[in-house]
Amino acid sequence: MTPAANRPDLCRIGESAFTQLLCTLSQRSSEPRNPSTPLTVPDAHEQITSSVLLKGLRLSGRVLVQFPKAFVTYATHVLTGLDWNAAEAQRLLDDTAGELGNMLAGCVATHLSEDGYACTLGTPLVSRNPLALLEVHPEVELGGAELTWEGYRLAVQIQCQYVGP
Amino acid sequence: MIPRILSIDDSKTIRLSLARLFRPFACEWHEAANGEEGLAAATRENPDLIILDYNMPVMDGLAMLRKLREHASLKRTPVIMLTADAGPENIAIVARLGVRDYVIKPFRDEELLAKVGRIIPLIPRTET
Repeated sequence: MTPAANRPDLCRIGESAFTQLLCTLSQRSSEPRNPSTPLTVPDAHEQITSSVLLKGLRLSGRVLVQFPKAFVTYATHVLTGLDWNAAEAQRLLDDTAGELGNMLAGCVATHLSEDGYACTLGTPLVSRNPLALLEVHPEVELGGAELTWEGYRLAVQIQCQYVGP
Repeated sequence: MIPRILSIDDSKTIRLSLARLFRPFACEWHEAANGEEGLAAATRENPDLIILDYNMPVMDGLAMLRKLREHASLKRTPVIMLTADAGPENIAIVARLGVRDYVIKPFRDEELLAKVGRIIPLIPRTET
């Protein structure tokens, strides 16, 4: 079993992954940010969770990311150019959340690989269950980050179970 | 003759994002949602470039790339791989399969356009 002192800093990794993702979204937005606009969509504060499995020789786990619906609406607009309230944009919310989760998990996997824990990603699963309600195995190590960005509260949780020496 | 681009990604959001990115340029745009559909589309359309996602259900990017390299008329089609995992092991796997280039998600539009522009001509639609 890997000594705890040699394990990756999951909180640092979670925060770094969020920073990369948000930085790129900000750069893609060609108009002044108006974060309050997506907050007018129905159920703006409903939480959407994206889950991506991690699988490697030395660890297994998953990355869970939680976004309010308003943030996913904003990201859909930035990525596709679709209007906030367009029916097509609303239909894309789960897909966008899955892709954001995929990107974030990719950043996490890159950091884990740099720390000696290479792993592959599963395909994202999207649900409307808040992070706090998801079951965690007692041997799983948890880490992550919560942050507020442009009025949106975002959270990432990284669950890792280490295997081997 | 305008270049043909085939975009293969299971995320409709990404497919729309890419279509929007390349709309200002004179190119014929085609899409597929996984590797299996992508192979069928590539056989049908004979693209000049494939932008291929790594992580997809049904048939992922690696599996599709291997089949592409076995196809007599498609094995030399240039491929740019989109991947969320920038770890060295992952990049080595991708490189060994002979992709022309790769882009890490989330990517900057300018980066992808520059890499595509090195493979096919990107001419604004207003000039054609």
